[in-house]
Amino acid sequence: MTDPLFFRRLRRAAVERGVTGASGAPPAVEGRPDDFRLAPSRLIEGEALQEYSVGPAEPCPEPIAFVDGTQRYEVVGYVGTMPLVAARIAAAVRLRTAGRFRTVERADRRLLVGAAEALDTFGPCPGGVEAIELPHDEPLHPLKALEHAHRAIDSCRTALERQLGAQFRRGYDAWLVVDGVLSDSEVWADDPKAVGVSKSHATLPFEGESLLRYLTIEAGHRSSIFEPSTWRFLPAHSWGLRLWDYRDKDLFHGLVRIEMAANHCSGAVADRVSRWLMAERVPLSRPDPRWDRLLYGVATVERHLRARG
Amino acid sequence: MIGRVVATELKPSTPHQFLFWTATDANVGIGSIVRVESPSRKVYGVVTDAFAYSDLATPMDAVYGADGDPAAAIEPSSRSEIRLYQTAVLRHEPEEPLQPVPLGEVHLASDADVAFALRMSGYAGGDRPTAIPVGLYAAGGLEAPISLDADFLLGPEAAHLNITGVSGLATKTSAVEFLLTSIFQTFPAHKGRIAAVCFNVKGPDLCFLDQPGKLTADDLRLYHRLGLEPTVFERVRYFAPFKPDGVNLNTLRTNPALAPTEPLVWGLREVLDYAEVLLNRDDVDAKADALIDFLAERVVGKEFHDEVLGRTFTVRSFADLEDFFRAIFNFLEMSGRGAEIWRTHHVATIRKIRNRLGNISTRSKGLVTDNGEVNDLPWGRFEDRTVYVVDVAGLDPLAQDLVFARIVSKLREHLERRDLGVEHVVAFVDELNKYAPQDGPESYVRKMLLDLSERGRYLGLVLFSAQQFRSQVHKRVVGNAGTAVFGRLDADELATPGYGILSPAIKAKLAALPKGELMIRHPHFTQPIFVRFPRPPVLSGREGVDQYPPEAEIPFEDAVLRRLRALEPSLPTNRIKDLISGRDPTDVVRALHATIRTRPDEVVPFFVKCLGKEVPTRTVAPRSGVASLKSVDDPYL
Repeated sequence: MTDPLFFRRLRRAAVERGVTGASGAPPAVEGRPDDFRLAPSRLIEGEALQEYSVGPAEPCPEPIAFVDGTQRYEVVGYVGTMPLVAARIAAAVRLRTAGRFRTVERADRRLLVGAAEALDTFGPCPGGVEAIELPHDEPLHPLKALEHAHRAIDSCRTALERQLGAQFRRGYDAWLVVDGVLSDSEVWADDPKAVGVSKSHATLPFEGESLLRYLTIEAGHRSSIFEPSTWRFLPAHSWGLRLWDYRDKDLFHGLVRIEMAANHCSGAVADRVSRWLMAERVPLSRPDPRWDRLLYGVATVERHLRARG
Repeated sequence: MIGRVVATELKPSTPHQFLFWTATDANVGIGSIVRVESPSRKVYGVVTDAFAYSDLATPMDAVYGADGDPAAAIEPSSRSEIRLYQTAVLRHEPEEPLQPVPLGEVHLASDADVAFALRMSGYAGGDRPTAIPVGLYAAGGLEAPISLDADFLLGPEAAHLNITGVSGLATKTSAVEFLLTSIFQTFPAHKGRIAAVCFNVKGPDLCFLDQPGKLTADDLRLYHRLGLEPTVFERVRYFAPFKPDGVNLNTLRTNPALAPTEPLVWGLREVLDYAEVLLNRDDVDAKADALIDFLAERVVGKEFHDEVLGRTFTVRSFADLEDFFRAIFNFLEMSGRGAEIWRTHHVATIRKIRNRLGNISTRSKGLVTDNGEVNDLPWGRFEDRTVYVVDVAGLDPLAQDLVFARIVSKLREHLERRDLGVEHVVAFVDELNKYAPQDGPESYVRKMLLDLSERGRYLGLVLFSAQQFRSQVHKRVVGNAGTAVFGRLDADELATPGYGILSPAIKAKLAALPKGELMIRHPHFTQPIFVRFPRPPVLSGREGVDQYPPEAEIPFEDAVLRRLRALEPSLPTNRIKDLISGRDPTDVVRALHATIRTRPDEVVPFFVKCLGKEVPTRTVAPRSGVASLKSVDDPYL
């Protein structure tokens, strides 16, 4: 996917077909929609939420892979009031052996997202572009339709990541770090060597006193293991891990939530994996603003995908 | 393929330079020649600089990531890093229209690519090839022969070669010896005959060009790759002046196992034509010139009758000249007060010229003889592919200047008249910063070298010069050298403005260049090229004096015998010693020089004839005179 004119060509095609042209990019074109909520979890380890020192950081002695995806979308026109959104999504798995990364899986898709009526008006998609139809039960605010498009694109990207993760697992026995959660994926939910690292805290697993304790874990410490209530396929075990000291910065600074398959996660495993992840704090992934939570391996996947356009 | 061209808005490709990146372990470095492939054109370039960096945003991030402790900086992931090479374009294909370098694949250049990129294909083949192998370009396991164009190295299109580098490590002398080997073996027949005149200015540097040196297997491989034979110069003639005793040669090449060194002996006539060499800037005035011209045209070598002095002079030697001057001074003194002019020449001018000319016979004793005998280079009989080494290492600087001036001038005269015996001569001068300095007073030798560098190529007279510091040599002399060669250079030298066009990486490479590697600029090469060359096939000076140590200075009689035996090895020792025993050394030296110059078939009879009959001398006691007659009575006594 190295065609830099992708958006421009689709936009021109839209205008040629009678669609009202648009050239503005919606805000946060590369982000994902977050719902902020508290979703109390079931504590697995201990009676009350506690924090545990994980010990000194130690690099994972085995090969380890990182999977992540990117997405980019732009409004290319409006059919009536309904937006037509073009998107490019990509995902890759990069395997690290002896400190060196190589890309072992990579895929990308080009999408044209819109309501059925809008897609019909646009007509047949150019070669290599897939049409993604949005549900259109009731009249929508154009910006709400944009949000729906965003979610659809997000889903497609996540699906692509999972697809590549599954392909990777068929060929490799290495540890696999997933940028996000495991529990909503049938591919990873029972994988004993998959580790989900979630940077997002849109959904917090506790409330009240426990939430305060969760958000004030010391650097190099983890929380008790808990079971998030948000799983879809299989319950996962999860814990919070503070990578960097949050004092004088922010409660969320350096805090990540780790997930592993419930059947393969104990306190000892959580400590060991946490020590590995502590080692993954460096190299810093700066200048990315999420550097305090963004593992370098994940950052290299993103950079690799962005570099390929 | 080793890399790909990259171009950004901030660092775009241009028609003359581009960037490419490679894997971190790619076998490419400063000086590597590469080929860029694109559907529409090929571009050839040479790597001039290199960069590496990682995705680390700032050095402080590394400190922060390691909590300030370098020892704790264990990073499980190696940072992404880049090897980025800046490359100067050597040639485009097609050459028109000239366009920026395309975003193509980058390959290491093959033999054919190197030949094309350096435009060697234009002169290395065809009916009349003019390629002179100079070394091997080596990169990425590839070794491509590099040749210079004889038309641009030895004229007429361009000419002259200058080599610079620090002493001992830059292999300047070795490089010139190797290049002369290459020239003698490959100089195309259609360009005529060629010889070399090498001035040995220090130690034994050029004293063993006829003796084989030790070559390694790698040297032999390089010779084979370049298509050259690792053999010594077949014809070398050595010339050196005598020491002040007039019989021992002033050179380190005196070992009797070697082919003999021939004496270089000049007389008044040879010196007078180059009297300007002896005069410093303050001396060079119209009056001095006029007197020297007068002496050269009317007096020296002729029978000169002076009505004023009332005498006829035959001035053939410094001794005769001294007698001539003394006659003038006596005349002026006898003429009384106010008599300061002789034939329009003021007495002060006459004294000055007399002092200067007298000086040369003193300071250059051994080179210049008082008795008029001469032994010189074989003017008019130069032979093809022959090296003439003139050893001036032991001479006074003034005498060295005289040797340079006369030999180069004679070469020019004969080449102009086309009667030297060869059509091309390479004159090699080391320590050029001494003879053609950038600063300092104007000297005859510097003017002569300037003239040679500017006009020599039309005559076939080519200057190969070497020095430690190019920046200290007159700009026009080095500037006129079509081919410039650089060995290892001092950092101070590299910091001078003359090296401003070189990239920091090229400078760094030059500062650490190993022996046997050189950087070459040649008119056909649009960028400097690094080459390796083998050791020359001859003994180095240091090895030579170890293997053939110079003889200790020997007694007068033995030295005379040795000089004569160089002409006829079977001469009986006693016979010669008997002949010269008790004779005036001046007479013996004169006879010896005459014999050496004439090279008679029968050495002893000729020597005896030159020596002349011994005039017996006896000591006469002072006579006791007749006692004077005096008488106290005679008041008139």
